[in-house]
Order: sequence, then C-alpha cells, then structure tokens
Amino acid sequence: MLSPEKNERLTRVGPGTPMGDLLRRYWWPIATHDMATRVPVKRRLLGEDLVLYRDGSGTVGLLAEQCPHRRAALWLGCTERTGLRCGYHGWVFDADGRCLEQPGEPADSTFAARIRTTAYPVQELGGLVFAYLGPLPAPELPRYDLFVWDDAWRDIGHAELPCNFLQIMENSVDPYHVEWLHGRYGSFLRELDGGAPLPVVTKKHVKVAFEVFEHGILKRRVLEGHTEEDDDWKVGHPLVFPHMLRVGAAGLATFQIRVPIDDETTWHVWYQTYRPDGGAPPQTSIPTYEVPLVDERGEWLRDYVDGQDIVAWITQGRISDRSREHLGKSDLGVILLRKLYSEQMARVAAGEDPICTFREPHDVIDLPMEKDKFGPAAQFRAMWCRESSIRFSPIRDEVLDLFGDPALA
Amino acid sequence: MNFCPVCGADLRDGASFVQEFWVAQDRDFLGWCATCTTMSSVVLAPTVVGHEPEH
Repeated sequence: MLSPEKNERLTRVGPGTPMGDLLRRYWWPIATHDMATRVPVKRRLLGEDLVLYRDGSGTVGLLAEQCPHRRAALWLGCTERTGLRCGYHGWVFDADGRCLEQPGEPADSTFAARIRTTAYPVQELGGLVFAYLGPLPAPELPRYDLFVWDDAWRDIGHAELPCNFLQIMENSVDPYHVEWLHGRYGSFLRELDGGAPLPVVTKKHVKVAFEVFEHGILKRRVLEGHTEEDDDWKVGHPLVFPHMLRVGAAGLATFQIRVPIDDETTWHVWYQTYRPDGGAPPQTSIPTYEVPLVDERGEWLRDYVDGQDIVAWITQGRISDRSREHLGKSDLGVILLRKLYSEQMARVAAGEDPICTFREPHDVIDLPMEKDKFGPAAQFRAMWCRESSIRFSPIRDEVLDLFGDPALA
Repeated sequence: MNFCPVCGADLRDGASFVQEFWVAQDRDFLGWCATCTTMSSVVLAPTVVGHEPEH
C-alpha cells in the first residue's frame, strides 16, 4: 500500500500542488495542429481552463479562458489579424496577454496598458501544439527524434480518458501486464469468438529490469525463448519522464503521451512515425483522428491491445486508491517510477530543474528503442498495425503499403 | 518504515517516499529520504535465511 497522503501528493496536478509544480516544468501537447485555427477552442491542462487560437497572422496563442473584463469565456471570441477579441465587449488580447484594445473605453484612456490576461508560451512541433505553464524562463522544447525526423510519415490519434495520468504512466513500467492483459485476456476474448490467440504478446517474461537514466526509466525484458543478446534486453525502450512511453520496432516508432487535463482526466495522444529503410516520401499533412472508447452499445472497446490498456486504466478509478493495493516484486518498476516522481518533486521544491528539462538549444534528442521487439520487427509491426490504435488511423492501408506489409483483413 | 535508516529523518514528511510491497512472506518497504536522498529498503522477514558462500 501507499499512504493516502503520498497518493494525494503523486496524483494532484493543479496549481500549487507538488506534482503540479513539477509537471509545470515541462512542455505539454495541448492540441493537435488542426485544433489551432481561427476559431478559438477551449482546452484544459493541469487543472487550468484555457483558450487556444491562431490569429490572422498565424500566431498561436494560449490564454486563460475567462476575459479579465467581465469574465466571459474567450472561446466566445473572434480572432483578429493580431490577437483574440472577446465576443462580449470587444477587448483584444495578444499572445503575450497584453490588452490591445478596449473599444468601450474613452479614446484617451490608459486603462488597457494596466490590464493583462494570463498567457502561456506555445510552440508547434511535429504536428502538435505544445504549451508551457511553468515559471519563466521556459526551458527549451525538447526536440525528441520522432517529432523532428524529416523522412518519416506520421499520424496522431487521441482520446480523453476519465482517469488520473499516473495510473496510465505506471502501466509503462509494468511489463508483466503484457502477457496477461494482452496475451491471456486478449486471447481469451478471441477464443470466445472462435479466434486464435494473439501473436507476439503471449510470450512469458523471464527477467525484467528498470534503470533510471537521463531520459527517464529504461525498461528491459527477456522473454521465454529469448536471451540477453536480443534487443528487448540489450537495448530496451524508455519511459520518457514525466509523461511519455516510447514503443515500437524497426520503422514503426511511437510515443504514447499522457497529458493531465486535471486530477481525474487525461488526454492520451498516440503519436506514430513510419520510417521504412531509406526513409518515407514527403507527407503533405499529418492526419489526426479520435480513438473511440466504446462500441455502438456503449460498451468499452477491449478487443485490441490499446483498448485493453484503456479499460485497465479506467477501471482503477478516476484516481486509483493506492492505499488499498497490494504490490509484489513484479511491481518494482511501478515503485521506482513513484520514487522518481517523489525525488523530482523535491528537486523542484529546492529550486532545481528536474530531469529532462533542457536549457540548451539542440537539433534532436535521440532515444533508445529496440529494432526487433518480442521477436522479428516485421511480425511486431504487423501485430501493432492491427492491435493498437493505428487500427483507427485514416492512413493505415497506406502505411502497410509503405512498409510493403500485406493488407489486413 | 517511519524513519530513514541512514540519517534518521522522519519519512512521514511530505516530500519523502515510502512504498510497501510483498516478496513471498516478507513485508518489504522501499523508502526514499528527501533529507539525505538515500534510497533504502527494510524487510520485515518472518525468518532469516542465510548461507555461507564457498571459500
């Protein structure tokens, strides 16, 4: 068990909480590229209500939702050449939060110069809009490899999940769940439908290891029939602190990004890159899609790997009550992650930068990941295109063509 | 596990971390002390099993 006080500390993400203070030291995806348009939209991040827009000059802005004048929502507004005009009384704010116009005030008034609204820095990279809600100066936006490769195709799936971000992150340092949730339960569902067991994910774990390194926690595993010479152990793949899992196999590399909307809701982003040997031809735009959570009867979708994960996360409760859990030795990765968050919260409280904050400009941050995963890469790739959220991608068939993989039934 | 085995600081403070888990019959605690930054473990074992290495 974990004490209720420690659980509270690890799961509360709002302003002024220890975890909220830690997470505010990082850049967060707040939208896909196609959500930032001339039409302002409401977004919520780390318990703060915000409005995102792209003005007529192309500048993307992120402001506090409510106008400092009479508190109407700024998504009830119009984007101008520069800035966002409140729909209620016409006050205009730029992306730095300055008030540019107050049409109802006397022409010689200096009132506007003394009004500011909360504004947060935003940057676009790799088809995502990133926001920084922490103390200035902001660190560099990390240019992780998948966001910057210029010879890869991408697509971005996303969904809003009704649970705290931590239980999702813990799944990424829990290798044993793969052989049970996906290998056994997933295969059980297929058996009921007369199907064969899921390939690849049914292999038993012989040994797992976790090591804290500069990018988070590196996860290694030896599966039944494999050795320490295989990539699963020799290379492994990382939980990228504080919010991502890197997973994939040669040519298919993905991030699962867990964005805390608030204490009880998480925006989950499945960010895929497709990069065959020799590179992919240019991609004109990055498709985005919503990942459905329920079927036509309102039942949680759990007939595929990501769906099974989602249901396991959600059914732990909006915020998992860790004072009632019983951890064993197979949960050491989960324990290590909780300890790492605790350690980094203490660093922030002491005025230090936590790990994975980058202060120097850089071209790219390369992350380790297996080329062959759970066996041959092509076998994993075929399984992942069928059993992950990629099944909902509008370009799945083109992706299979890109790799020369057979079409799926 | 209420106190750090290294510096004696109270691990029930806000910043430190203590997690209970089980290994067979042993009740284990992993602790991280925010005062001295030591990570430690305490095992409440029903029996102590030892062996003498070859020499």
